[in-house]
Amino acid sequence: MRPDASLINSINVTEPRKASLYFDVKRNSLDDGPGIRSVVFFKGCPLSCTWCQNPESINTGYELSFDAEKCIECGDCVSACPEQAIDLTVPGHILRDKCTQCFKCVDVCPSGALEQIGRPTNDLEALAEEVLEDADFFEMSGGGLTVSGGEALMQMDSVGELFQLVKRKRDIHTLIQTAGLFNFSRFESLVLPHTNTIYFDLKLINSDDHLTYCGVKNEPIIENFKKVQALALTTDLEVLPRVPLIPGVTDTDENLSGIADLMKENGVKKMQILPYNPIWLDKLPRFGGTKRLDIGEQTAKFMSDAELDRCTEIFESRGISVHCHR
Amino acid sequence: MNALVKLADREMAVETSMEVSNRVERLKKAVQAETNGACIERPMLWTKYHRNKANSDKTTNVKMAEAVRYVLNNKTVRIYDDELIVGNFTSKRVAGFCYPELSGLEPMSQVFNMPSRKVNPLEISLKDRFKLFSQIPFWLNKNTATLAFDGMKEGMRFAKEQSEALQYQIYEAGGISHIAPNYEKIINVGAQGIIEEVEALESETDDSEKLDFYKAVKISMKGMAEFGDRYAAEASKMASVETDPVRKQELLEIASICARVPRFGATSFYEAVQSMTLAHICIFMETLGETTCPGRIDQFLNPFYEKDVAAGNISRERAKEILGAFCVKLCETIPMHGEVGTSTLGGLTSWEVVTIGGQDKDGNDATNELSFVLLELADELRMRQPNFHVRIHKNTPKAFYDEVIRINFGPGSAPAMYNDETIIESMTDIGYSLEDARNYVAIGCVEPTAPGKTLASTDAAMYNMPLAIELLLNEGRQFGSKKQIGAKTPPVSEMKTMDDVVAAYDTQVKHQLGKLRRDLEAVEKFHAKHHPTPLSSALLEGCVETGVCSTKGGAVYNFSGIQGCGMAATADSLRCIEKAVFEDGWISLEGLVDQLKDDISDEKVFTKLNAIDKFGNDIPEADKWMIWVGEHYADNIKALGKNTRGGNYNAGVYSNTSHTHFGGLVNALPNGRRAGETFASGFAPENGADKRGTTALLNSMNKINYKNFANGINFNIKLDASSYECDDGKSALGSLYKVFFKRGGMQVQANMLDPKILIEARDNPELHPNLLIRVSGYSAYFNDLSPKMQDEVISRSSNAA
Repeated sequence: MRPDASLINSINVTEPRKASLYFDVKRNSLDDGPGIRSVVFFKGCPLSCTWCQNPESINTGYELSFDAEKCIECGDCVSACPEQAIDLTVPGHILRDKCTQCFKCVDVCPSGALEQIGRPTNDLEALAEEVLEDADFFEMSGGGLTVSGGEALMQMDSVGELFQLVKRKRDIHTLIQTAGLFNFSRFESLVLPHTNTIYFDLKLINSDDHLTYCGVKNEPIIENFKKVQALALTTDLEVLPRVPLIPGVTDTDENLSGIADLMKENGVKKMQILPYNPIWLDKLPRFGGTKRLDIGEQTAKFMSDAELDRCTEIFESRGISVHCHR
Repeated sequence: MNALVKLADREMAVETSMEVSNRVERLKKAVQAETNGACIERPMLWTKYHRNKANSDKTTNVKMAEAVRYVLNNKTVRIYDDELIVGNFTSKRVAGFCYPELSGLEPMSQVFNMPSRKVNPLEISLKDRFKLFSQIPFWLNKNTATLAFDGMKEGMRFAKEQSEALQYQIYEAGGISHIAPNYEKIINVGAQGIIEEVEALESETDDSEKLDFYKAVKISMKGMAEFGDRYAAEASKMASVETDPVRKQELLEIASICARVPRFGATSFYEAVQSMTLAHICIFMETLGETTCPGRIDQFLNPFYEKDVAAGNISRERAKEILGAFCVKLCETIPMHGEVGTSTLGGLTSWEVVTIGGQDKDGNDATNELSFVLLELADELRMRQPNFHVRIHKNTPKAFYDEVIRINFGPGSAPAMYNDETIIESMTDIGYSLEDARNYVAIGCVEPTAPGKTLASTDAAMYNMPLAIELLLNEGRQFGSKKQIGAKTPPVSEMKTMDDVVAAYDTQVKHQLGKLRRDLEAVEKFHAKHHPTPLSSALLEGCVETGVCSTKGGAVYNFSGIQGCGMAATADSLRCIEKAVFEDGWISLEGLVDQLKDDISDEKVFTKLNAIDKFGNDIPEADKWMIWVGEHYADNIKALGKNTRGGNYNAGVYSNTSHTHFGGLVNALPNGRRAGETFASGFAPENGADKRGTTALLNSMNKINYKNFANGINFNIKLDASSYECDDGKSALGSLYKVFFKRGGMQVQANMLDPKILIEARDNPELHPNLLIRVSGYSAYFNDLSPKMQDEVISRSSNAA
């Protein structure tokens, strides 16, 4: 299901040929950039980080989500399924190998336990309209539209057009959250002209570790980071590098020092650390997913203030100010 | 989650704040340490006056005034340690009392259980319980229920319906109240000034009714002046034996102030606040005191403050201390409800609203230093009373607005915010002059009125809106009941279109409101005939000038406010009938009613009804019904015509705690709500029905034309404190409200969810189906988390606290 790492682990990232998908529009977000924002989550990601907060976003294609908590066991889906891919006697109910993703079960599900993950972006005008429903709030608060994922920059045509569509109607701020693995020249021509801010995630400084935990090596990501950061120093583009803190993986002194050095070398003045959030563990089983690597018991806990202080200090000792939502 | 840490820190900070003067902090502690009690003084003295045969031949006006004066002359006078502002509502520090001549018989009949009842127990000695109980026979044929209606049978019918409060409750039966008295006048001219004004008018008329009213006003004003004398005497007496020289000096100052006010006009800020306090207590002795509102004290006290500051007589700190003492004083009175009152008006609040900020009569910003002082007190005191309500308009200073947003966070409730632009227009639409509308204050819960000149009886009645849905689906009867309480509308088998359903709804609403109006009118006439209010009327412009008591329509403005409760449940039910039966057709109307009668026992039907989009999601198909139900309601209230005081009926949409009470009495409804479940409060979407976030909710809320609801609305918005408490969050919250108001919103009050709510949500998920929490920059619905993860989130926030 995951994209082949060898295929995408090059500077020429393959973007999906079929209509691209998004899977959610989150309104009234206060954490994904300045002001009040709507976040469009695109589907598909060239990385496959073990701790992915949105595991439903990794695959580029449609997915069927089943939430056992919501299911009332009415059995309507069983009779609606043409492939006999649903069996109420089996835990999780969905026989994933038989499912052809026709989503007939979703249509009949009265409780919303079954959900189709992924909506086509072929009607970007409608998507822009949906985003603009909150335009009054964006304008009042200095907020706007954030695209996230997955990796939004796997779908540059859609992102670029969406940014243009919303900006044509209302003067709102646009922001991209990226994991950094994208085709820079296409980005420069298609997306950059309509982008105000980039949140650029850096995870692991050691490329082998990056391959282990994120499924790809990190050289192209670091190369992109340097280019984007250079733009930040010379143009209006705002760049905020961010580091997700994963206990025992990314939050080690060694890794954070390496990232901090890279940031300092490239003139970064301000960065954000993202405290670890274990809620992803709840989401995983709904898509038939399992933890790819066991990253330890501590991953079910939030981080302590002392740990966050330690991480902050690593950057601040290098003159980089640290932003952190605790 | 660390926002929650801050919240907890703040709570501690408030506890130990040096910002509130030590004295106010001590007063607060003393009041909070008191057990809530019930006091029998007022009902006992009231009865004693009326039992005295020497009084029986006097006119009703004179009897009222003399009874009030008798109470004021004989009730206990107490000055507590440390007090700067004196005046005791009852013989106990914190207590309520009842009015046997109004609706007091219900709590009086339950007085023996009062100390031990589960909800809102009130301490009262066994001796006092016997004394109070023994007054019941005297009042049995002399109270609202028996005097308002022809014949015992009707009276009993009314009393019984009032005690059930199924279709509606006529709050006005307990007293008209709901005024912001003209304290400015008593502060400026004193009781003596009003007596002189009345004497001048007496010489110009020979109308015996007017002269009778004037006589009563003079008696009440004498009572008020003498009330001040009694505190002067008490303070002198205490000073003479006080050994602490500082306190002795304070008591002497209190004695000299009370010798002057409220008899005469105040000459200083301190006197002005003292004058207002004693006048406030006097009103409680005459008629239902709860919901008597001080109003815009930042405005009418400001001239005294500025004058004292200019003369170097007062510092900001001292003014804050005096106002703080006044605010704490307002917590010393609580209502003494019986069971119904506890259910529909829960929480022991006495609704003494202080309104802060807003525009002046010319439309300019009127925020002043005292506005800021009051906001600080609202933040630092966080007590049950007064209710601080804030007026916001497009020229509200940023510093003031930011401070209002800031104090949204912290323990207890946030101040309610009112949108001047919408409210002023709604008021001029119903007949207020622009100047008076610009001077509006909030009364009681949320009701805008022009202070000092309006008897708007804003909480005249509360109406159970969703009951009409149950009645229309069962030919005017509740499910499983044979009693025809509604209109006889056609059986559902004959309803073939949505229009048929709507027509039946219309019939039920008109039937219920017609009945409500007849009962309310009888109560209005009772007040005018049997319970005039000469003392309160002296503090309502128009009454003295025309010689007509406010209960008869003497005030400049007269209205009656009727609240619709359960509007979203009503609108959502209509939407669900339309969608399930007439659009999608997966169930017939008869099938649906069968399910409702069986409390929606079929889980699939239950799930499907709940899955239909409801009001509050920015979805036009659902929101259109809220708009329609609201307009239909407002039109039908308007169509009730004039009340007996010559004023219009005004529609309001707020609910106190009636949404829970009424919800408890209504069976399953088509919106997927099961029997007995609470309705949403005020104008809010049904609990958990808004699933698309705050901005979508506000978009839905902005589709309502609030000018239809001049009697006020309340919109409690539930927000996760952790999302908004950081600086960015506060600024975002400020923006949310600004957009809501800019697009015509009327009122909003935040309900900040804290760690306690998380525990409640874990244990009772149905109470908080869509509780959005923010964890380290990540938002999630709490109910979506596994039990294990919920515990983790709770343990983190609790550890933090």
